[in-house]
Amino acid sequence: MAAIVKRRRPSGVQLAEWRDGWLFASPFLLGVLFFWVGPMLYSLFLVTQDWDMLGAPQYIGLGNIRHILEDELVKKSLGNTAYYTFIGVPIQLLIALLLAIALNQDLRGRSFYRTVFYLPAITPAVASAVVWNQIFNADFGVLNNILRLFGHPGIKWLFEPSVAKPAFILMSLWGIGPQMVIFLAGLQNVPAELLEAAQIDGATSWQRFWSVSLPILSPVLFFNFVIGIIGSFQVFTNAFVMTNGGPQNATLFMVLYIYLNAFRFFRMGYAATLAWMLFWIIMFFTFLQFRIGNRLVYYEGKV
Amino acid sequence: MAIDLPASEERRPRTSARSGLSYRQQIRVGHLILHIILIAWGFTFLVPLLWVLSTSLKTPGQVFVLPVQWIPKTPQWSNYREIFEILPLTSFIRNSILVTTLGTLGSCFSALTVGYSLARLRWPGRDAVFSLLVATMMLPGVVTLIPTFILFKYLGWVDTFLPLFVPSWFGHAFYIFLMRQFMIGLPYELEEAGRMDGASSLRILWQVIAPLSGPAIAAVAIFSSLAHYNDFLGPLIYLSTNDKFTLPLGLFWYQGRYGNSWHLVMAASTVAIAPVIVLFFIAQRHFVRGIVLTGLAGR
Amino acid sequence: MVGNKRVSRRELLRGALVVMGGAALAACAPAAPAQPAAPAEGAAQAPAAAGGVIEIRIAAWGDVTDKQVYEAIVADFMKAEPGIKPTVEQYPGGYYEKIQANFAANTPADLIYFQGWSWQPFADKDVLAPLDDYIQQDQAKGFWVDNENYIANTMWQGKTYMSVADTGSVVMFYSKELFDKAGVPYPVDGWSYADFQSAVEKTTFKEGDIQYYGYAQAGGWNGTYLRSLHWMRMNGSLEWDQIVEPKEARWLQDDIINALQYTVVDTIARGLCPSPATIQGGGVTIATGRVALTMEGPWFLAQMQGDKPAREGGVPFDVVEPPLGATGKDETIAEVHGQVLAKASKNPDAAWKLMKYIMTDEGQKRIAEGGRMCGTPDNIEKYWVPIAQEKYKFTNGKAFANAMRTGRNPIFAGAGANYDAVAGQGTPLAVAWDAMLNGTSARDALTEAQPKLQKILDDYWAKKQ
Repeated sequence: MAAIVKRRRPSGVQLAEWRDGWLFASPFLLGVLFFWVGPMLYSLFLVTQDWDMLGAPQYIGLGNIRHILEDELVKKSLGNTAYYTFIGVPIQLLIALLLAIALNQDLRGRSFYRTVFYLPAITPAVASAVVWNQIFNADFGVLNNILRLFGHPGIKWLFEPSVAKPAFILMSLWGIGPQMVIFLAGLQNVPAELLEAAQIDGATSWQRFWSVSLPILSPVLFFNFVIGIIGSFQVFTNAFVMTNGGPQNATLFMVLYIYLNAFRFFRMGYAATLAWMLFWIIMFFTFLQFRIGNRLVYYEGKV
Repeated sequence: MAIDLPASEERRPRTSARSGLSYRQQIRVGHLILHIILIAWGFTFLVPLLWVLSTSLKTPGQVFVLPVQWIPKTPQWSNYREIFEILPLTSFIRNSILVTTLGTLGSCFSALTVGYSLARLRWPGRDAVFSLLVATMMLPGVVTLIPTFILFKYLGWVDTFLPLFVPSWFGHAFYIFLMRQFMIGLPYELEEAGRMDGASSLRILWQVIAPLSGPAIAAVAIFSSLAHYNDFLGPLIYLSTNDKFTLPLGLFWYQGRYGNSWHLVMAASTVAIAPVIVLFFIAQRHFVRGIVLTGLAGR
Repeated sequence: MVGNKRVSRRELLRGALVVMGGAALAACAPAAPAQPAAPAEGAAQAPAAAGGVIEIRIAAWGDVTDKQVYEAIVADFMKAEPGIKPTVEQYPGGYYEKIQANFAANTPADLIYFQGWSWQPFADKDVLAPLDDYIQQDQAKGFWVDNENYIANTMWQGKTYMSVADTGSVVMFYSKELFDKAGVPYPVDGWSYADFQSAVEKTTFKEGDIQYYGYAQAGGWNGTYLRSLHWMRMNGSLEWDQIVEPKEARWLQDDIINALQYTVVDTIARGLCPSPATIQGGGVTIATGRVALTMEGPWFLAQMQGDKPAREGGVPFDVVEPPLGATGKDETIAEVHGQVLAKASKNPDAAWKLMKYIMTDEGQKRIAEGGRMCGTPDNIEKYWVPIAQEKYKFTNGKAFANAMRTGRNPIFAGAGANYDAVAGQGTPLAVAWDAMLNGTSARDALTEAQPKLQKILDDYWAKKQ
C-alpha cells in the first residue's frame, strides 16, 4: 500500500472493540492499581532510604547504590543466579518437552504417567527437603550409591561449593511438571489433519515435528522460556530450606540475599535496591527474548 | 508424532521397506520402548513420595534407619489419628480448600478475560499493558511483601482470608500471559465468522474461544490451585488466629524443635497431597486432542 | 460448532456459581471453633463479662509442645486473673519474619517470646517497653538472675527488657553403650581436654561394616559456632573484645584457632567425626547409636530416650560438663529466653501481669512439665531436673543448671551487628565454618573471616555516630 492512510474517525465497530479491550483488561489494570502500584512505588522509594522496619526510614540518597558496588556478595549472588538460570532453564525445557511429547502419544496409562511426573510439583517443600537430603547423603544416598557402582568415591553434593549448584539444577529437573503440563496444553493446538497430511506426503517423524508441531508450539515454547528465565532468576525456596545459601555462599541466590537483608540484617532499603537491580536485569533479558522471539515465534492468530 | 488413524491407513503401504515390520507393529515397538523409559524415569520421580508415604506409617525411631525400610514392620495407622488430635488439621484442610477454590476460580476468570483482551482485541495501549503485565512478574515479591501487608492492614483485611484470594480475581500475570499465548495460537478465522454476524466480544469469548481453550484453562486451574494450596508466606504474614491457618502453615507446625515428629509431618503431608493428586488426575484428562477444526483442513 | 464438551457450558456455569456462592458464604461466616478441645481450652471459654475483660495477645515459639505449655499457663493465669483474657498466637515456620512484619505494620502482640540474643535490635530501635518501673513497683527483681550472662540477655543499655521464661544450655552427651563397647570409663565432671581427646580416639572404631565415631558436631550448616563456644573459650580467650556491643573481632588468637582446628577440621579429617555430608538426612548421630560424644542441649534429650526417641528403645546415655580448660569453668552457650513487652501494647499492665506469672513457681512448673528448662538455675534444679531425669533416664541433670551459671551467649548488638548479621546465613562466620567443615584449615578460614567481621562492627559503630 503506497498511499498514506488518512486518519478517519474510528468506526463504531472499532470503537466497540476499543471499549471491549479496555473493559476486558480492566480487572488486571484495577488489580495492578490497587495491589501492586502502591507497594511497588514504596519499594522504589525505599531505594533511597535506610529502613530497619522498626523505626522511620532514613534518607541516605545514593548510599544503597554505593553499597552495591562495594558488596562482594552482590557479585557472588548474581553469579550464582546466572549460573543456575542459564544452565538450568534450557535443560529443564528440553526434558519437559521430551516428556510432553512422549505423554501426548496414545499410550496406555498416560494419565497415570502424567500424574507421576507432576507429583513433585505437588509435594510440600518441607517433605521434599527431607527426601532430597537423604538422596544427597554422602554415604547412604542413592546418588552416591549409583556413583560407587561405577567406581567413583562419591560426591559431597550439598557441601562441596563446586557441586552445590549442579545439585540444585538436578533438583529443579525433578520439578518440571508444570513446564510439561504447559507443553501438553500447547501440543493440543496442533491440528491432527496437518500432521496427517504431512505424513501422507512422506514426512518423517522428525520432519513432522520440526515443520508442523514446533511452529505451532512456538508461542508456548516462548512462554515457557520467558517464564523459566524470570522464575529461575528468582530461585529461593530450596536454598532457604536446605542450604541456607551455603556451602560458602555457593547457593546464595539473589532473592535469598535480598531476603536476608530484609529480614535478618534489618536492611530493608538495601534489600529494595537489590530487588530493583534484579528487576532491571530480568527486564533486560526478557526484552532480549521478546526481540528474538518476535522473529522466531509463529503466531497463528495474531492481530 | 505417531498417530493411530485407522481410516487413513488404507493409503499407506502396509509394510515398511526397511525393517519389514508393519506400521502397526512399528508403533507397538515404539510404545514398548517408551513405556520402559517412562517407567524407569517415573520411578525416580515417584520414589521420594513413596518415602513420604512410608515414613508416615513409622514410629519416630524407625524414620532414619538406614538402609531405608520401605514397608514399616508395624504400620502405625495411629499416626493418622494423632495428627488430627494434636492440631486442628480439619480446620487447616477446610481453610485451604476454601482459599484454593475461590482463588482458582478468580484466576481462571481473570486469565480468560484479560488474556482474551490482550490476544484478540485491538485497542490503543494494548501492547503497553502487555509489557506492564510481564514487568509485574520481575519484581521479587520479597520487597513488596511488607508494604502489601501494610496496605492490607489499612483495608482491614488482616487476619481474614481476603488477601489470599481476592487479588486472583484481578488477575495474575503468569496466568494471563499463558492464556494470551495460547489464544494467539488459535486461528483468527474462528472469530471472523462470528464478528461478521455482529456477535459481541463477550459472546465470542464465551462461545468460541473459551471452549477451545480447554487445555489452557485446565493448565491455569492446575497451577493456580497448586499455588494457592501451597502458599506459605501469604497465610503466615496475613493470618494470626490459629484456627484460620492453612495446610502449609500446619505442616510446619508439626515439626517440633524438641523430639522427633517427622512421622507426623509426613502423615500430614500425605493427607495434604492426596486430594491434589486426585484433582490433577481428573483435570489432566482435559488435555485431550482438541475439537476437530473442520473447515480448515482445506486451507 | 461447539458440541464436543462432555459437560455443557451452561451446566459448567451453573456449577461454578453454586460453588462460588457456597464458598463465599463460608468465607463470610465467622470461623467456627472446630478443633478438638484440649482440656486447657475448655477452661479458656472465659465468661464474657459485660465489658471489662482485657484481651491481650502473647506470641509463643512455634512448636506443638509450646502450644500446649502456653495454653496451660494461660488457663491457670485466667483463674488467678479473671479480668484478663490472653490469646496464644504462634507463627510456625516463620516466627521472626512474622514478628518483623507485625512491627512494621504496628500490630505486634503484647507479649512476644524472644531468644536472648535476638531482641536487642528491637530495643535499640525503641519498639519495646522497658520493664524497670514494673519491677520496682512489684519488687520483682528476684525473678532475674544477677550474673553477667543473664544481665546481657535481658538488659540493654541499663534497662531491662526481657523476662526469664526458659533457658537452654549445651553440655556433653555421651553414649554409655559405645563407651562400654570400647571399654572406656565414663567421663566425669571436671575431666580435662586431654581426657576428651583420648576418649574420642578410643571410641572411634569399626564393627563389621558399621563405623562408630567418637565425636560429632551438630550436622549441617552454619550452626556450629554456638556449639564450639566452649572449645574456643575454655582457656580464657574471647573471640570479641566484649560480648555486648563488641567493637573488635578477635578471632585470630592461637587458642581459638587450635581449638577449632581440632574439633572442626581434624576430627573429620581423621575419621573421628562424621562429616556434615554423612550426617545429612539423619542416621549418624549419638541418638541413633553411632556417635559417642556430642555437645547438645535439653531439646535433644527427647531424641535419646522417652516416648519418641530417634532409635527404637532409645540409647543409654548421660551428660557431663564439657572438659575443662585453663579457666576451670564450663564456657558453653547458656541461652536465656523470655517475653518482651511491645511498646505498642494497649494493655501493658495486664501484659506485665502475665509476664510475671510465667516466672512464678506455678508458671515455671508448667514450663518444666512441658520439657523446657526453667528460667533460673535454681528453678532448673528444683523443677526441671527431676522431671527430665525421670523421663529421659539419665542422672546428671544438674550439669545443665551449672552450665547456666557459668556459660555465656555470644554477641548482643543492635541492627547491623546483631547475631544474624555476624554469624547467620551468608555471613563471614558461616562461610568460615563451611570452609572448615570442608577441610580448610582453621587459620586460613579465620584469617579470611576476621577482616570482614571487623568491617561489620566498624560499619555498625560508624552509623551510630
